[in-house]
Amino acid sequence: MVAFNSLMLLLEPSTMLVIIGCAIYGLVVGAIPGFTATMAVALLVPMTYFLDPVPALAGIVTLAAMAIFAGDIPGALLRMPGTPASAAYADESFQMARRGEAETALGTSLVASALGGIFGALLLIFAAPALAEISLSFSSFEYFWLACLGLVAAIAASNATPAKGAISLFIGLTIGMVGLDPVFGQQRFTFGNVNLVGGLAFIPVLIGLFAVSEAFRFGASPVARPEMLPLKPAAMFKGVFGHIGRLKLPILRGGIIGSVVGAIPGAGADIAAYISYAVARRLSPNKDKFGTGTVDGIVPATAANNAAVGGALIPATVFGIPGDSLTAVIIGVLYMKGLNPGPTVFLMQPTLLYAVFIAFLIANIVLVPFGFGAIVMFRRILSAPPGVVMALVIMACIVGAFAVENTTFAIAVMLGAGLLGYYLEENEFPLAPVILGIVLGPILESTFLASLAKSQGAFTEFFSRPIAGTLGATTIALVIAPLVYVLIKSRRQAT
Amino acid sequence: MKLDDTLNGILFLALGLCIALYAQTLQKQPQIEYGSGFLPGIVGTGMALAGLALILRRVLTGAGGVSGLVAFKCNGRRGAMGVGLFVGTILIYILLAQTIGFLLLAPFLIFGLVFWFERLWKLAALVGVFGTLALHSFFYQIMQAPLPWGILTKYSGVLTW
Repeated sequence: MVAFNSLMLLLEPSTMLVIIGCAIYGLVVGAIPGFTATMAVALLVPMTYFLDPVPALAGIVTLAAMAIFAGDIPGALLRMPGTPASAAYADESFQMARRGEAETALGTSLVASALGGIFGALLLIFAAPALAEISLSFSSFEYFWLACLGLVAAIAASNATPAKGAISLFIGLTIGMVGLDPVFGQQRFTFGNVNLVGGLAFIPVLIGLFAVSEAFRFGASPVARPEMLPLKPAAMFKGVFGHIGRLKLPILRGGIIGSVVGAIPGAGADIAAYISYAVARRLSPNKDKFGTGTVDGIVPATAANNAAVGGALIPATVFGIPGDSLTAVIIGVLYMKGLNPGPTVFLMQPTLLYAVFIAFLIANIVLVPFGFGAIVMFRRILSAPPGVVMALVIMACIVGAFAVENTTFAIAVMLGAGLLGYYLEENEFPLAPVILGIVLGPILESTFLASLAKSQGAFTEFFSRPIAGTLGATTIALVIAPLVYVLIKSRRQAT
Repeated sequence: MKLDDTLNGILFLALGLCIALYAQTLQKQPQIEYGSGFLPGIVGTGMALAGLALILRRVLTGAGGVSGLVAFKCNGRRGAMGVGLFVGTILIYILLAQTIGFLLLAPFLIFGLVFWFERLWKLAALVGVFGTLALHSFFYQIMQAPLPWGILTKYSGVLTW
């Protein structure tokens, strides 16, 4: 009954219109080299502010599914991945396109992406409610350790050095601390400025970090796009299903890797694709063909990056712990709509939540025709002058930041966040821990102080419950393991 | 703008220490040992230590170096102007939007950006006008976001379509 009601919510004409609009928007932005799925979502969030929760959230998850695939198109035809999630196998598909097999590369990539996404969506639909039931017994101790685990994993999973990952995280936590302290209500980092009492607004910070910083990077060195390789869309699905049938196990493996890696905080679709590609390279009977342009390398990795989106949504909806920067944004939207993510949402708002899950499943099913359309239209998308696109992006950022907060101070916050994001990316500091820090900081602080009050100051109580103890031990192990590894490595080198 | 990791490390070491010192100024709660300064204290100390780790890594392994300590990864002066133009556009909007209004200010800002990057004034003018109308239609008319009217306030009824 819940599923039927959820489906009915999705079938409302206004909701369908938003979903279709978001699908097209996601495909266009994802196909433009240099733009990320997170940037696409960041630009969409101000608009979702004015929408009802179901179309807003269904639109965002649809956009995410579409944008992750669309990144494959310029990867194959220009050797420029549209989103970082497609970087792992961009060279593989480009080599195929150079041999005149662009249709096979993109056709198999499209079908495998849809299959990976469907796997992630089904896992989300079945695993999330089961996990939510278990997590109903969670207290502040478990939530404290989950937040800690999320923050530590965000550093461990980032591509940067641990010190840079940690600095990014501390910047995010600092941004999250501006305003009233969530426990005692004392002002922090406001320096007498009334605009800061309510904290730095999430949406302007998000737009600044992910969209404005991209415009600055374009301003510093506008990139000329190379000529795209020829493509015959009519031959797109010729021989594709033969490859898909032959590679069904690698696709399943990619789906599993993507879902698991996606659920780990900080490790998003890009890392899932890299791991899946590396595993496929090791296990494939055609491993010698990897690097020369083979679908055996493309298919498992592209299935993994689409499955990762579904995987990341599991901890986001069940615990309120984001799997990556994209789901951190979705959590922000959930809070904005007055829906505190966590197991109680499954009890209080099941229809709404299942509507979002079903929207994600449908998005991955219709990815094949929509994605085909995007491939056909790619030359046209690419013909948009980048200067025009960026000028409109920056104006949309300004208007979006202003529209949500109704104050020019929000635009100033967006500018500051944009400069910060530009500086961080130029200096190889990862952005994902920043956004995770902003979202998880208040949870960490309030659960820590609530747990401390319950235990009357006894830290041993933090390990007294079985799940809390396991989570705590895992978090501590994640901190200590790299240090032990470095120590052992340096000793071995010395001897 | 890429800085040498020694500079990045010093920057975050200093910032972390400032945050940790600021945390000391926050009031403690009478009943509980941990007040509002608890998390800022941890964050400040952590940031300072991570900054220190960055400096040590640079000194011990040589990784993260930039010749001359600062490098600009941009298209010379034109690249710096490009970034400046985006920053300037945002600042001009912040300063003038309430006075002049979105409909009059946005076309000029869009024109400036498109002309700088594409060097086609007709295209820039068209995008300036139609881009503004599209953004206004979407955010003001459909989403009902309160975009500023500025000097056109008394015509807002006529100009709302």
